[in-house]
Amino acid sequence: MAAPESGDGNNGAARMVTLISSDNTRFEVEAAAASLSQTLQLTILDGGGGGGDGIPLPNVDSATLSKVLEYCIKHAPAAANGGAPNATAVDRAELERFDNEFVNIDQSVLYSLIMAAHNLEIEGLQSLVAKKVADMIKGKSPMEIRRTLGFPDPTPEEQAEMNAHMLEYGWAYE
Amino acid sequence: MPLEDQGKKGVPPACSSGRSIDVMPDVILEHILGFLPAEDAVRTSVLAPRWRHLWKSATGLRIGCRDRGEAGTGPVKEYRKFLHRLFLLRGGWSLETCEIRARIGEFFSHLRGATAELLYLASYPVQGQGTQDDMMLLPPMLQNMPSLVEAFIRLVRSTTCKCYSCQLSDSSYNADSSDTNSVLLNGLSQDKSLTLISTYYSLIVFKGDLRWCPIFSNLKTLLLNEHWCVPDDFDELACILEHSPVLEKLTLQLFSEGPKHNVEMKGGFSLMGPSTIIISEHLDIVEIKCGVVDERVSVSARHGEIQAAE
Repeated sequence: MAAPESGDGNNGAARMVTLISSDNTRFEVEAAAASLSQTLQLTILDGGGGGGDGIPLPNVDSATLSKVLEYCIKHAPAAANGGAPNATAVDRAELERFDNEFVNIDQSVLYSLIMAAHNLEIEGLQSLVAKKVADMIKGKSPMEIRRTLGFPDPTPEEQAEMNAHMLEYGWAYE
Repeated sequence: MPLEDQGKKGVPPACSSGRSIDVMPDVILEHILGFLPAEDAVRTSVLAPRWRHLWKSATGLRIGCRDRGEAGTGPVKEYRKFLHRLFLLRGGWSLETCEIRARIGEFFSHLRGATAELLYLASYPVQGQGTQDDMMLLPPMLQNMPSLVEAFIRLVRSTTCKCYSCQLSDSSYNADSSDTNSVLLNGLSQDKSLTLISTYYSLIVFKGDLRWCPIFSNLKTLLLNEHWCVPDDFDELACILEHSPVLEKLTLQLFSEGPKHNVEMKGGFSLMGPSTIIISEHLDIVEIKCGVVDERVSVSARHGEIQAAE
């Protein structure tokens, strides 16, 4: 995998960095892939994360981090091409297939990914997971959305408030 | 607001921060809401007190994007009422994405002052209402979108008129009468990526624009449909190419109505023509999407790599 101009000063073999999850698992990954994270990019550019050091990520557990890195590794080549204006339709279709499959996951994993993508500032992943949640909401009634997103059943007071609000926002429910 | 049951077992502590959507910061929820059609986004306001105003700061605005109720159907009056309320209440015009598939363009002016990186505009006029009004409202909006990176614009003459070439003569839009020099394209000339799906009708507008020769100084990818490549009249195409100094990829999509739309084209298809135009040195890829590639068709581009998609 080529890793040009993505912060690795090395020539030859792709530079590797180590990331450490909140539960102390070490992940070794190409600098180009880890640099998809805006948060990590500067540290990596400064030469951090190499050797025995590793970059600690106290907010991301190992299960989530391994999922995040799966995304980064898959998307790193296209990102290195600067949005890949010359990517073929086949490449794009393959990434799309990967993305669709990638978010086909348990809701708690999805929520963890959303937080991790946000903390690590991985733009593509942020949009991917946000879009997934939006698709879960789309076309549903408020009660269905509450159930889908894991809200508890509303108390009578909350229910009354919801009803009042729906009256006020009648124009949005016509 | 009580949260989801916190006591689930077997989940590492660091994961708990992601377990309920309600513990996520507003920016994340606003991002999520930005992917919803406007109608769905507004309706989330009922979910809980915290969600009451979140939709107003959603990072995306998508109008006319619901799956059911294709553009051009449904009662216009109700929709107009909805949009009126929406624009009245919605703040936060710093958008990442703005997607409008509208039957009426009158509210384009509401977007004045909005900023967006990605713009998708498709105008489907209601019968009896001309697109020209939409056209006049578009430019002020576009000119105020300096952060626009990608634009997709599709203007359709009329939902009842499927034949693009008909009624051309009764078009009352006259590019010369506009008081701004370049009505549409000037507003777009800073984009990096531009898709122009034109019908004959709107091509007139673009033609008028092109006479003022906006420079697409940042334009890297360009997608045009068949109406830009009418044989023997490549002036518009040539003009855009000449004024796109850093263009890297040109796609000619010869089926504006979807992959099953057949376009018959007779005549020469030569971009370069006898009077050679100066095109971007960066132009690496010319992609032509069409149903059947007739072997009599030959396309030449200087650094040409031709890809024919199915």
